[in-house]
Amino acid sequence: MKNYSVVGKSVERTDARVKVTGSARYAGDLAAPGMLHAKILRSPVAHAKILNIDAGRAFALPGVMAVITGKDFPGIPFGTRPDIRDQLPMPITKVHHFGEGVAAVAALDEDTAEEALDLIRVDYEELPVVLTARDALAPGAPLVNEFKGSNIAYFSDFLFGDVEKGFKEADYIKEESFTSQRTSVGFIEPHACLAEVDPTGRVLLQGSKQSPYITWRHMCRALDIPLSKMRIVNPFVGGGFSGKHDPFDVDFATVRLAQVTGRPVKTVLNYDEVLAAYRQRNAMDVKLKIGIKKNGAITALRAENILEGGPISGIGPFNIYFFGAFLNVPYKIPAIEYHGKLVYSNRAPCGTVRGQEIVLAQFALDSLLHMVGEDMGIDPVELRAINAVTDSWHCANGLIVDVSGLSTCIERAAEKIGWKASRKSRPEGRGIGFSCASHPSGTRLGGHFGSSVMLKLLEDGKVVITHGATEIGQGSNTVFCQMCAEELGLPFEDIIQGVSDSDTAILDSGMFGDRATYWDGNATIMAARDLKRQLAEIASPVLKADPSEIEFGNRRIFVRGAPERAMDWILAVRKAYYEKGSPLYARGTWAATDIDIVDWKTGKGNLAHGLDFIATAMEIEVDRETGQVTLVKAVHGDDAGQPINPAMLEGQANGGSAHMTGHALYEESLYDEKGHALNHSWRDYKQPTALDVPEYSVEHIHTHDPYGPFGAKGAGEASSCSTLAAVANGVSDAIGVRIKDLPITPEKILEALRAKEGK
Amino acid sequence: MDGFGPCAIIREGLMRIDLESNFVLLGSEDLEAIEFDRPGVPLKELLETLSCRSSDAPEFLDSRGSALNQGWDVEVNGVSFALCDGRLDTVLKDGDKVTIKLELLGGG
Repeated sequence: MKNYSVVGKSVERTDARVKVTGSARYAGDLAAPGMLHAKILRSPVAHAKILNIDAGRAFALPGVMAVITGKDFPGIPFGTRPDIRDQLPMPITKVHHFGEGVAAVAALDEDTAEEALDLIRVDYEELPVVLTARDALAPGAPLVNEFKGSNIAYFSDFLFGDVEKGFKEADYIKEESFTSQRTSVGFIEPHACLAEVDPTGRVLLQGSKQSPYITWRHMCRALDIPLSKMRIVNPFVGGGFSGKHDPFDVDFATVRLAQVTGRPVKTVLNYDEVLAAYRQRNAMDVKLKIGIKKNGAITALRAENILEGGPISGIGPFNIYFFGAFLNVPYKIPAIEYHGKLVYSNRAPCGTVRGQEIVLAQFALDSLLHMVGEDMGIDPVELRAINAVTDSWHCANGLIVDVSGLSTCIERAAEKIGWKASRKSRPEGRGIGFSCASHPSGTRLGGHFGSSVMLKLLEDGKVVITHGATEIGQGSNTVFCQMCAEELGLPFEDIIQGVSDSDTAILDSGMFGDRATYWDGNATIMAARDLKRQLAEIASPVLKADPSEIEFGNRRIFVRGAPERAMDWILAVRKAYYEKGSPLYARGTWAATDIDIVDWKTGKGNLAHGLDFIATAMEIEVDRETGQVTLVKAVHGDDAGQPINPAMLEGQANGGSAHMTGHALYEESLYDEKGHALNHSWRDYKQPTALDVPEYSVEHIHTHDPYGPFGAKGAGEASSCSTLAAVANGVSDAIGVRIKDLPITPEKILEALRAKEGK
Repeated sequence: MDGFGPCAIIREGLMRIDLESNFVLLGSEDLEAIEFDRPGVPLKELLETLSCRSSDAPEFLDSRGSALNQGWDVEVNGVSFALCDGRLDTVLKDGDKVTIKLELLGGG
């Protein structure tokens, strides 16, 4: 393994001090001269026709500067896929879920805006609600979305390999159903933005956005303005976890109010609004059938999956696709049949949450695999090792695994948690859950998909790095600074992070799917090489060498093989500025042009590089009297290639897992029979805290990804994908009951125990 | 269009266009080829026809019918329509292959 100077070191995050001291400026902290404050009026019903909106009394309230509704937008629908554009900035004819924004007010202060909301009269004609997948698919069910003549928003049917043959060859076949609930996303910072419009009509939007490019493109379409008429700048973002990709009514309303009033407008939601009306994870119903040989090898898999996704398709088609296409990893499955369906409902719109719907797929698959192991008397850890994908494995759908450390991940996690010893004896009520997962380092969705990085060499020798990724708390800024420093032979502190601004950076296609480290990391290396090339041109005449012989290290520029023929980095910088009059910029771009564009029709293709792998082992204690589950400790065997910053990588692996422990055990967005959200406050919606999560440790399995920057892969989402099944399998191992319906609440455990005991 | 609306398809036609896509072309069902009852159908008409037949009625073209909407990538015989002389008015020939790919704008 190569020794690096900066890469592989747990340097301090570039944003650590400003965040922990409270001086980082988030969207809610922003202010502009003459700024107005906006509030959004929300629907008290889940499904209704909008008969009339009377804003006359609100307009008349002193201090109110503007009131807008859906009719104040051009009426152009938008959506993630061009064939399913099924949402508007704000509704015009009907409301689709409880809490949907129907009007917005801009006023001189927040209190006035809030007061004005009470003066707006909206006449609704209530419609029957569709709450579940079963409701949506029932004959004669009311239609949820006015742009679609069916409650089936999307479907996929994939066939990889010979499934019939696979099941014929199986010695044992098992079929089970699993369900998962609606959960919220869980970022800390609520949606917020500040919009300004300059005298030419150009919009500046500064918001808490995970993927400003996606926001930008959708907003310009729905506002009917060219991309050049909107500039988008990201302040600090307090977490995203897939919940801040799209533009929301808050973004649209804020911009429209700024356009109408000609004044800056800021909107900051409270968290009750976020929990009631913004992105959640799909509810899932899936039926899986698996075939296994006596030796434990999987022969075939069949999956029927229904996701309930709220009133818009959103990223749902990709959730359906991802669920099916990535059943191909982390296990060798020679044949897979998949049927996926996304249905509309009158609950809050779904996006996805960390790990996308691989989280749900892996919960079902790894739970079923564990059950099969128990039925067949095969050690569940051994069963996973038998089926783990290996280097250069060609999956049934054409996905190629370049490098897999999964077998080692399994081995190390099992060893560290004490798996073998636990099979001989363990305390009453204690068990160990095991699960594996894999996540790609970004896919290719069509359209703009490259990553770009700009470097600006300052006169004092420091380098400013500007990239198109988004720092949403995951630490991408820090790892890019590390990579840049490593490649340039400079210390970490010589690299300065620039601002994410659409005027100066080419924004990435989106910040999702574990892609930033991999894609922007490679672009960072390319940019640093460009800068080195330019400096080598300057240094080589002085050093009497060919530019191709020039190397960089320790703030020095020297001739390869002759380190005494050298000059200081700063000297070359000064020559560029003072002798050549040529301050230096460098740029790098990178895209995995050799992977296949997502094939929605078949799910086939080599879909991604940089598959990261994880094996999670979790020790769990269950109180048989109360049904209470305690997560005692957990070990991740984690293959993220070359760790760039081991401490942050651990944070990602542990954070991704901790995030999902709530999903596994207690988180659930609840609705009454009329579709009203029931627990949209932090009082009633519990998420895990430091007191709830297990004591984590991470075993880094160092592999070298051939396409990744310094051999790194993406990280942060695989552990989300492995955690649900690890918990479910751990509960089963502890008390011998299997809960297939998430969350695994004490009530469900006690009921299952009573059923097992015949009570 | 000589009395033929974009949805008017004659099944045993004179001209066959092979179709390729990265999505289910008609929303609820796929289509590998389409036949027209006359030669010389322009690309634009093909797209309008497919839109009419699709359960999702995708808007390939802008409201004026003069430009491809955002989110679509169309090729004729492996060449981007934008590089074809006629662009959206490119006249299709029997046996031509039209590829339509959609671009996702979103993330998970």
